[in-house]
Amino acid sequence: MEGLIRDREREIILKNMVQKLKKQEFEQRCAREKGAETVWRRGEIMGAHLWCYHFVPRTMELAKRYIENCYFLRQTPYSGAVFIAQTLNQAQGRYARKWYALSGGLWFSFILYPEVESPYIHLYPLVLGIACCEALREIGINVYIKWVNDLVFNRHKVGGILGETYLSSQKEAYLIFGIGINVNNTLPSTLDIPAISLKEIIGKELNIDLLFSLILIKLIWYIGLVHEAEVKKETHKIIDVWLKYTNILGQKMYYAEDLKTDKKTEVEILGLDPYGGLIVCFCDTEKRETVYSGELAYI
Amino acid sequence: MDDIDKIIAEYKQTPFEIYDVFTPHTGMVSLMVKKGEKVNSGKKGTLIYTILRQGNLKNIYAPIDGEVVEILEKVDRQFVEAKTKIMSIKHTLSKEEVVNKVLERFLYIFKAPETARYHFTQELNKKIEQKGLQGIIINPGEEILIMSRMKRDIPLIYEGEPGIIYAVYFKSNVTIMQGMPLLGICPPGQVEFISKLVRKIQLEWEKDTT
Repeated sequence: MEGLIRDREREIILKNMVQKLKKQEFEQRCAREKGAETVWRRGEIMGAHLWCYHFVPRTMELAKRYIENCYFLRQTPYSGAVFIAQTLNQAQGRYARKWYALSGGLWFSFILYPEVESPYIHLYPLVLGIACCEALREIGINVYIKWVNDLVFNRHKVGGILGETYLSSQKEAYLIFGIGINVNNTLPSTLDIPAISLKEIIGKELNIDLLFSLILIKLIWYIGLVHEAEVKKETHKIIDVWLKYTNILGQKMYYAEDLKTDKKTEVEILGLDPYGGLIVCFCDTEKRETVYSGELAYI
Repeated sequence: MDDIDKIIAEYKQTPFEIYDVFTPHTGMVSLMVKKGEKVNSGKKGTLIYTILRQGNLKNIYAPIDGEVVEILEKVDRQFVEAKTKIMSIKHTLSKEEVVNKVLERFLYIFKAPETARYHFTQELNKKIEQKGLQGIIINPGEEILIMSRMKRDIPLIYEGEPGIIYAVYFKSNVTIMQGMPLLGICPPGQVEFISKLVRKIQLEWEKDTT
């Protein structure tokens, strides 16, 4: 795209890496699970088209530009298209909070054409967290998921995931997700919440491209699983895995719609509903509720 | 009697609504209130019954302020099926509630498509800041709200008749349940009539607490 410098060398490296790991993962899944081939096929669009850049404002905005460019060129935007950058200078977290995306981190976005309907579409944010968590655990980093999909290590944030539905100029909706993981990057000391990089956890630098490839093949599987959930009308495969990877079940935590601006309430985490809603008990009223928005903080 | 007076007379004739209480699931019910008892909702509401299932006791509080007008005493300490109606609460409508009911009747109510948090789009927010809520006409096809659920923001397109945002039923930091009203849209020519009606209700309506 105009004005942005592509890292074509990295694109080739990543495509080759992903190809090798895909074959291994596919064979392992098929050996372990009945019907794995169908699940895999549904998610295989992920990363089939991949663009790497050195320096961009935001990868999610890049994804939107790509969609509009496709319309201009009378082409169809590829579902599963991925955009990675080394550094972002206008990265944002939730509620437009600043996200420090310096060189050394893993920053990427991807688009999905929303083939899955509500309520199953709400599983996407969950499975993205699961995919990242599983990939990190496979390389020996014992991260957990904090609802909805924050990656945490010892209560420190390792990575975050955001999503939005983008309504294009042609009035077609696309899902755009952004994933940011602190790998080898340095974190500023002025952060509002405790955060940590993978390099700090294990004491050495990681191969970012390998990590990305691992995450991508997990995304292929779990995005396929969302489709399967819709077809079979059952979500337990996803919910059970999420519950396995979280460390908040049974815990008391602070909850608010926006922890920076709203009053915090103490809640006890009871579980997840079939579509990812968080079941909590408010400690002050003893009332049980399922929440679908808001954020949690460790006490 | 003009239209406004007729409408107000209608609500004055039945200034209450009956709220039926159903069990959320199967279990053994223990009633905690009697017929004729006054109950309160809110943070520390009146405990109206408990339901026990598989060793888990759930306390059920009054969902609304009012008086218990009907109660199925035979279910006390009995096992019941899910969705069994066990009592009815008569709730006297407050002035604000009558106003809301009237608005629901005359406005196009844009409802929450899903349980989520909602806020105005940046563009609409700017227009509201510049011209005020009733200074903007929204048209079908416009993005007016952002629905936020599971860390994903989804733009909502307005699909009703062109109109003015007369009422806003949500706060951006509060989760709104699916189906609950978000906005009340008024056809441009009706604003005066509705404003007049609301003003009259606010002047004339008194909550009958006896």
